[in-house]
Amino acid sequence: MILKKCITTFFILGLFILIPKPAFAMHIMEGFLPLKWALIWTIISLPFLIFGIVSISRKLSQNPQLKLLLGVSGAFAFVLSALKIPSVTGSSSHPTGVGLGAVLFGPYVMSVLGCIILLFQALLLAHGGITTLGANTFSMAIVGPFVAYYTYKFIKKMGFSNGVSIFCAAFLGDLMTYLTTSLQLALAFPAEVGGVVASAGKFLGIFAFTQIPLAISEGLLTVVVYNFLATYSKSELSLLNIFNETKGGLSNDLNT
Amino acid sequence: MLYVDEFVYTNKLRNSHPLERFIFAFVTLIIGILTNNPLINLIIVTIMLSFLIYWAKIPSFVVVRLMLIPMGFLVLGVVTIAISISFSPNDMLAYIPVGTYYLGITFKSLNLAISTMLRALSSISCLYFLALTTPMIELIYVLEILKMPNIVTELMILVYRFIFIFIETAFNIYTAQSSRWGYCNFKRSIYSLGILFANLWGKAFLKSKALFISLLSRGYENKLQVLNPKYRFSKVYIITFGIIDLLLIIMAFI
Repeated sequence: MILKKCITTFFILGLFILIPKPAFAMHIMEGFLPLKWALIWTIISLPFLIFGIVSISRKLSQNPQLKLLLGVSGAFAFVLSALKIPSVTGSSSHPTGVGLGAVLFGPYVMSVLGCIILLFQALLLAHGGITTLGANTFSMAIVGPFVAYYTYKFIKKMGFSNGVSIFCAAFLGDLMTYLTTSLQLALAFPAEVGGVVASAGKFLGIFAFTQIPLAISEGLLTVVVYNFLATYSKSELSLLNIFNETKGGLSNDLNT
Repeated sequence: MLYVDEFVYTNKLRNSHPLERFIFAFVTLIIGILTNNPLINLIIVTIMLSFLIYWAKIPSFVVVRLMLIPMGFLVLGVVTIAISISFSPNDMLAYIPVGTYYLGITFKSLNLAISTMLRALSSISCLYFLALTTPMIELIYVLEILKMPNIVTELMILVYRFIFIFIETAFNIYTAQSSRWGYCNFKRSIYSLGILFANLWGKAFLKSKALFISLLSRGYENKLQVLNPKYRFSKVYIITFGIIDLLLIIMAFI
């Protein structure tokens, strides 16, 4: 009985010590997923990446300068994610840059760039991993950008201002990334009682401490960056028009 | 931020073909993930870390600090797996009652958590073996051998080339801003970071333009042509790596 009490006390103490703010919390680390799930997520991500590569190469054949711009933007996004942004709760965390990238380049191009950035993060910063690259690509470079892009377009269409749409895009993009990662973890580690749903609840609950404040600060940051870009870099952004064939991307709005 | 790169370029394992190290790290990684034997995972961690420290001569503090980076996620993830929710505390080793539920650790969940942790540790040590002995340029060369689309490897070269320039610029701006109270409170921090990133984007754009012009003046025809050095396969490395992987496979699966 005393032993049991001791263990319980340790357990509670442990919870309090362990919950606070790990940076980069949502990259699934190398080897955390069983091989089966690592393969499944890689296979799901592949069509998006292939389509992205095809669409990039098609656009590059018309405008060779864009390749360098894309490379440089990739490096920019990497640096963005390497800096810490202050979070609402007082801790700090790393932004994903997903919202900004998606409205600048469109979701398909962003998925390829995002995959490359995730590989660099795994090899240069030790965040994420090679076997989990597929799962991380799916949550951060596919779900995030697609949600952000279509949220932006949808809210814009509803007649809200640019600021509101950008905030919602970045906020929801981050939030959906966090939901997807929790679901990926839950599918790989279903709970004994309650299965995947209970497990998803556990992961959502524990990561909510870091991810929801981060989503709010990233939303705010993206709006501020957007405002500066809209004021000072209009002509540069117009070059990006080529990546957003469909009307409604950020660069189109800047020109009108 | 930790600059891994300077140690990578001076490591002692670099003088052979990068494909050897790539295959060794990858095969060992797969063995570590597939095995159910925690001992194998511990052996892999030991082999990889001792190779890094004693063979590649990477300073041990670098290796230790790198191993600590993913601990935040590891601990949080493992704790989440270990905790289970149930109506009755019967088979729990330790628990806290929450309303009508019980949050606690069962024998089974603890087992799963520990094996997941060991598996993650062994894979991360394989990843570090690759990342700390193979510079990015050699890795891109390996990807070219593995028939990665050209546009991807070219983008990787470009991203890699500019990362370090931008990081330096970003940190200089950050230092300048914070020395002028740019990060004194939340609102100010968001504003300062906004300026930082917007300026960095402008600089990035100018850089890409300058690069295009300089490439054009050297006969750029939509393809970045890079000469790779001639790498030679080394028998010693191949035999050592082969024997280790063979032994691991025998121990793990037979």
